[in-house]
This record gives sequence, structure tokens and C-alpha cells, in this order.
Amino acid sequence: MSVRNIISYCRLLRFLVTALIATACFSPGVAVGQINTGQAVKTGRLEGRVVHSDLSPFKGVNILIEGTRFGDVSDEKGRFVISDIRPGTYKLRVSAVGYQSHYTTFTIISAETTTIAVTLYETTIQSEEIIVTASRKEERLLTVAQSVSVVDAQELENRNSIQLDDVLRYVPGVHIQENQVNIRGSSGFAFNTGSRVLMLLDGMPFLTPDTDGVPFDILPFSQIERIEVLKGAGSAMYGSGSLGGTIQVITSGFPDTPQTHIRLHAMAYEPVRYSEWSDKWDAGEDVRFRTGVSFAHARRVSPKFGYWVDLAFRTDQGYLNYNTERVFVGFGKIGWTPSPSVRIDVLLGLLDRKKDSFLFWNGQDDVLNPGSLSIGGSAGPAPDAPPSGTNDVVNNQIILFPSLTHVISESFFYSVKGRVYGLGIRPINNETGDVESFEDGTVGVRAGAETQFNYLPSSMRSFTAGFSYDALVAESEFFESSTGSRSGKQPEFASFIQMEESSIQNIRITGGLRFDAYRVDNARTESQVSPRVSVSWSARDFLVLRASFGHGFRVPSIAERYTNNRDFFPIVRNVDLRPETSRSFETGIRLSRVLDGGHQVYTDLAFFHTAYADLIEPRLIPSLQAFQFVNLTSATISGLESTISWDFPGNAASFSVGYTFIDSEDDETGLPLPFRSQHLVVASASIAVLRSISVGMDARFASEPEEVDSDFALFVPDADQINTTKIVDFRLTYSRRAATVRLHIKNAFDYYYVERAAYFGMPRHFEIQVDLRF
Amino acid sequence: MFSHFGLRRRVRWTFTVPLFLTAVLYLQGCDGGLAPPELKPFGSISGIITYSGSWPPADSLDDLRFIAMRFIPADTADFLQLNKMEISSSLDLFVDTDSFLIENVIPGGFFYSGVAQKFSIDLLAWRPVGLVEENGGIFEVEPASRTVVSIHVDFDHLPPFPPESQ
Repeated sequence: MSVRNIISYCRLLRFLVTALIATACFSPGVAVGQINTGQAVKTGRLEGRVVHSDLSPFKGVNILIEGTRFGDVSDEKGRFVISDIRPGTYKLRVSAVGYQSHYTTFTIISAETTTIAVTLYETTIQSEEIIVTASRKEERLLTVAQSVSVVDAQELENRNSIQLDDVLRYVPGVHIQENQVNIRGSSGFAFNTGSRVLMLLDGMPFLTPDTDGVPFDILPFSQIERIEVLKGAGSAMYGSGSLGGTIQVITSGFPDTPQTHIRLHAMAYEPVRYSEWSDKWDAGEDVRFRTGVSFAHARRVSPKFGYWVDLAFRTDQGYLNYNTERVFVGFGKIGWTPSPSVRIDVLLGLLDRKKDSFLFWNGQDDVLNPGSLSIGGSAGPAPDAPPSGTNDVVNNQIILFPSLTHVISESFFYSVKGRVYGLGIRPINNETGDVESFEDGTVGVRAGAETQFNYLPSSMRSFTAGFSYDALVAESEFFESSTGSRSGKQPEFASFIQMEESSIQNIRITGGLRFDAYRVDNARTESQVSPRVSVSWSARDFLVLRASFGHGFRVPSIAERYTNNRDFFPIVRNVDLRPETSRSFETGIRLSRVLDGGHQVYTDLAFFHTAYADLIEPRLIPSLQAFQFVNLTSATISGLESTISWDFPGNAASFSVGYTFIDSEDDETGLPLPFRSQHLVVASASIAVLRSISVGMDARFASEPEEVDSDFALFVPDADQINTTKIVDFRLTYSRRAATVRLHIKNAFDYYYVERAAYFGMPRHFEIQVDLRF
Repeated sequence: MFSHFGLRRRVRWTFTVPLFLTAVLYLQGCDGGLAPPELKPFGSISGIITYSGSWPPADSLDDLRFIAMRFIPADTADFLQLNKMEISSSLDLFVDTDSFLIENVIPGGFFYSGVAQKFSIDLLAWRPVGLVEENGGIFEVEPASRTVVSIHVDFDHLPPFPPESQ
């Protein structure tokens, strides 16, 4: 049962209790639907009919007279009736999940019947969607006081997404640099250690135990209901990691009718067109492939029990040398409702991946081959050894997220959630191909629990509070703690509280506070207090103004503190790293309107300003002849973000454009922060050509960074060469009954770009995806 | 209703689609993006050397040169990795100061550089007598530019070799 269903359940309980009290306190003749002042008046009646955009009757629509608890639900003919209404003028809300809510004003005349007709249109824009990430509770996207983007399940399918970065590349304000997520310039290039974006899976923090990285491919993609991207500091709710933003992946519930989904996909990488590159690799002129299959099944076995499983397997030859991959991901979720007020869910996930990781290229004249760091002289690698710019490993991960929700009363419920995230990385011997032991690699575990209490004394006020504890341990041959140990520990404790008030008409105010404490290396404890406050004003039903302020922080990852190794890249440890902090302010305006004819227009404009302190960045320390993660002084990132989307009725067509301007500055040097693009643009268009065929186009643009880190270029040739990113994709979709076939041409113009320092981006490639649902 | 639907479709195809396509194609331009680089022009290294202490005897001074290495040597065998180093012409002996210039240097980073003495006719009989110490001994040669370094040689306090590991 999702949080949305729990809130609906509470509202239903509250409605029933109120109805019972009303029945007990007033005369026996009072019926549901009656607005009764206790005086004898000649009442009127409201009746009507709700239809879909194709004029077919719409059953199950909620009709509610605003400001009251009286309403009805449309029957199989779309009809509804509310009787015994005192004469006057009222506002009616007509709503259904997945459809744009309809608001209308009506007048009741004594002893007469007022009739209205309503057409509901499907919601293809975001404003009416319900999200949970912004405040740990359900709220309409239109009224959220921060910038939020939502990616739904349909969009995941349209893009043939098999990894999280495939999805995030088209979210406004988000820039992916290989597997590093950058929201509004918050992150640069940090050798894939430490993330300034926190990832949640069904409300649980979900970062790898060793590097605090975002796990892009251990997700049940066929069972994702939606992905919410919250931009700006979010540590007041979620703690460390939410410095630049928060990404939450929300998995699906259990359908009433069993659903089975099989997906087959294949992709072909086109060889590069420059012989100067392809001639340096034996497979440089070959077409390389990626193939995969996934199977998912979901069902509700009984009113109390449901489950789904999601299995996926893929192999990838890669478009770079030493970049092959074989991945298996398996997920399962069960939901059990032993009583009407108790809900138990358990999410289990497994990953097995064998991968040759391409770390950095061999120069701009040899982008397809990994480079070698040969600064070790005769102590370096043998002449025939594989280049050091590659890392071959077997990666195993397991996650277990059990949760319990107990509704005590219509105004109070609590949840208890546990989390275990285990990771094991074993290197592959380059000479024999044997998989070595965990002792020669990395092992990490993040385990903990969280309790959250929700109290809703009224529909205009709510309180949320809770606490959590996590034990974090990672051990690696690359680590060396202050005591010389190969392991690092960083247990964490946190408590939080939040209040929301909306008693002032059309204004909602939210305030929160969180306390976090971390124990570092059994030597010292660091703590952070993170406040937040936000306000949103619904100037109209379709127009909301907002402002928010929040504090964010990120505790250095175990890898940033303790990595002390020169096998692949010279990095020395820094056990004295301090947490990064940020203060983030944002103001914006959001508009969502249904025009005549059912066209839906959505636009959002936001201005943001974030001040960072003690940012952790890799720097070359000449005296150590190696890189080290160090705390910089401070930096400021400001900008604006604008999103416009236009959806034609009946899913005939849709267009969207997002633009983000980022102005970053190192407060000490006055220079822009390295590896940050100043301009980001994403655009999408979809058109239904025929009933079963649609075409689409997606484009993304990132301007060339104003500043790059030249220290890396001392060790890796041309590592300071980064150009503009300009990618256009085309897609064609054919759907008939249970089958959908999608053809993609990605990077259709075969534009060559640098994904991140010393890493060549994906050239043109062709995908075909077949989905079967039954 | 049919005409209304037709008008919507006309608006969709005749206005929004070309506008969207035009905007995307404009942004894409005719630029193919990253390409193999043109051959980079060479750079050069020049420097000033000062000497102090007692010069070694003449019979142990078979040669004296400035050597810039693109790696950190581990033992004397590394002096044979000639494709990874730049070497000056022979330096003057028994002087207080000297200078050198190495031209046609392939741009890139150098991690261990200084004055080296060949103390016998043996092929591997080299040792460092003075090192570039500024910036930890690391410098970069840029295309079409000259990198200037300075070295002080104190024959009474020779640097250790192999270099001490970090």
C-alpha cells in the first residue's frame, strides 16, 4: 500500500467519523450530501454527469463540495447526485487519479435542481501529480515550494531506460557526467567518489557504502512508478548527501489484475568515422552490441497480500576498448496488510555485475583505448600488461528494505523502516582472468533503521517527526585509516521534525529541523543542524508562487577520506576532511492551465542561489606527487531554470523545453567552478501519427565548461579537453494490443563529445525494444 | 468537431513541429564535435644551473647533462627509457653556473628532472646530482612555448637515488 493510499485511507476514516458524529448529533433525517445549518430551509439539489474526453461515461470519479465533507462518487453511467443543499453558491471539485482535476462554481436555488456536466482529461503534465519527496508526505506538485521534476513510468519506457542515468539526462537542470549526477552545477568531476545528490528508494537513503555514489543500475525498472527529482538542499529532511538535490525512486504497488511484462532490447553502436581512432583498436571498425531481456510479474493475490518480481539480464560489448559488461539484476517486493490499519512491505534486490571499467582515455588522438599511468618507471606495469586506465571487477550488491506502517487513528500513524545495503567488489586478474577474493577488493555494508511519526490534527496542519540510525562500514585494499586499518567506519544518528500550516487561505508554510551526528574513525563526532522553511501561495487554482530556504550538508565518503593507493591513479588519503555545507534559497512561480479544447499548459520559472562552504574537490598536491581530496574554501552557484510543456488533448502530441542557466564562482579565486556548464537545455516532442504509431524527438545541450581542471591533464593526456554537448535522439513507437515496438536512433547526428574528463561519449547507436504485456 | 480536430492537427503539423525541428537543428548546427587533434607544435625547456660544493674528480665525470623524465625512476635502468625523457647536450664542467636549451620537446608533463652525472663508461652509470624542486619537481611543457626551470647542484649533498617513495 503506498503512502498515497494510506493518506486516502486516513481521509476516509476521518470522513466516516465526521459523518457518524454528524448523524449522532443532528436529527435522524440528515443524509450524506446535506449541508445542514440546523434550521428548516427549502434545500436544493445538484446532479450531473462526468465523462472522459471521448464522451464515454466516467465511473468512480470523486465529486466534492469544497469546504465541506459532502460529495458523491460517479456511477457506471458517470452520474452523481448531491441532495439537500442549502441555497447559495459553492465551489465543486471533480477529480480522479491520473486526470486533471476540474473546478467549477455552481448555485443552488431553493427547491430546484442544478445540473452540470464535466469532462475530465488525462493528466499528461505534472501539476496534478502527487509527490512525496519534498516534505516526506503527499502533496500536489503544483503547490510544492521547491523545484521538482517527475519522470513517470511511461517516460521510462519511451526512452528504453535500463539505467538511472538514461532517465536523468532529460530532466531540466540535471547534467550527467558518466555516472556522476550534477543538479544545477552542484557537482563537478570527482573521480566517481562522493555524490552531492542523495538517492532514495521508497524513502530509504540509497548510496553505495564505500563511495557514497548513486547506484545507477540496481533498480527494478519495470516496476518503477515514478522518479522524483527535488532540486536544492534537502538535508533538513534526509540528512547527509542532499547538498545539491534528492532523487527518489518510487516502486509500483500491486495491481488488482495480474500483469506480466516481458521486454527484449538490442542496441548497436556505430563505429567512429575517424580512422585515426578506429585504427588503434582491433575492434575499432566493428559494430558492437548491447542486448538484454527483462521479465516482471505483479499481482494482488488477495485483498491482504500482493507481490511483484522484476528480473533483468543484459550484456554489453561497449563502444570503448576494455568496456564490456554483463549484468543481472533481480528485485522482489511483497506487501501484506494483516489488518486494515497495518501494512508491511519488504523490498529485496540483488545485483551481479562483471565489468571492465574504462577509467580514462589514452589522449584525444586515441579516445577508444584506455590510457596508462607510467610514472612509476621500471616499478610500473609490465610492457604487455593491460593499461592502467581500466579496472576489471565483479560487483555484487544486495539490498533489503523492510517497512511497517501502522495507522493508529484518522490523524496519527507511524512507520518503521529498516535498510541493509551490502556491496562486494572483487578484482579480476588481468593475466589469468580469475576472479580474486573480496580481501583483494572492497566490501561495504550500510545498515540501519528509521522511525517516522505523522500527526494530522486537521486538514490544515500536520506534524512529522522521527529518528534514524545507520551503521556504515567499508573495507578495501585501497583504504588506509588513521590507525593504518583497511576499513573505515562512520555510524550516523539523526532526528528530525517538520510542521506544515495552511490555515491562512491559499498559503502553506512549512518549517523543519534536523540534527545529524556522525562518528568518524572512532576518534571524533561531527554534527550538523539543518533548518528549512518554505512558503507557497496559491494565487489562483492554476498559479502558485513559492519561496524556500534550506540547509544542506554532506559528510565525506569513506573513499574520499581513506583512499591511499597508486595502482590506477595516485590518490592519497585525507582523514581530516570536513563536511561540505550549503545554504540554498529559491523562489519561483508555477502555472498549470487547461485551455479550451483540452490543451494543457504547464510552466515553471525559478531563481536559485546556493552558497557552498568546504567543498571537497580532488587537487594535485605536488609534494605528494598525487591527488588528494581537500576542502576548498567556499563557492557560490546562482541561476535560473525555466520549464514549459504543452500537451494536446487525447495524447495527440506533447512538447516540452527546459532551460537552466548556472553561474558558478569560486569565492577565493573568482573563477568559475571546474566542469560546470553554464547553459543546459533539454527538449522533447512526441506526436501521434496514427492511432498505433507515434514519433518523437529528444534533444539535450550542455555548453562547454568555462573552467576545467588542468591537474588531471598532467597525468592523462588531453584530460582538459571538454567540448559542448549537443545530442538529438529520434524514436518511433508502434503499439498494437499487448505488444509495443520502439525504434530509437540515439545521438542521431553522430556528434562526438566528452562525457567527462578523458572519457569519450557514446557515438550514434540504434536501439530496438519490444514490450509484451499480458 | 471534425473541422476542429483538423484545425488542431494542422496547427500541430504546420506550426509547432517545424518550429521545434528548426530550433533543435539550429542548436545542433553543422559541428561534428570532438575530432582527432592536429599535430601539436613542439615546446622547449631551458634552464639555469648553479653549482656549489666540491666537484667530483675528473675521471668520474664521464658526462654531465640535464635530463627531464616523464615518469619517476625507480632505479638506474630507467635511464634507458630514452623515449620517455628529454636530454640536453653535454654541460660544461667545473663552472659555477651554466645554462641549457632543449628544443622540439613533445608537450606534456615531466615528473622527475635535474642534472645527472655519468660517473663511468658503464651504460647505466648515471646518478642525479641536482633536481628541479619547484612545485615538487613537476612541470608541464605547453605547445609552442618555453618552460624555464632552475637547478642548484650541491656536490657535497647529493639527492638520494632512487627517489624516496611517498
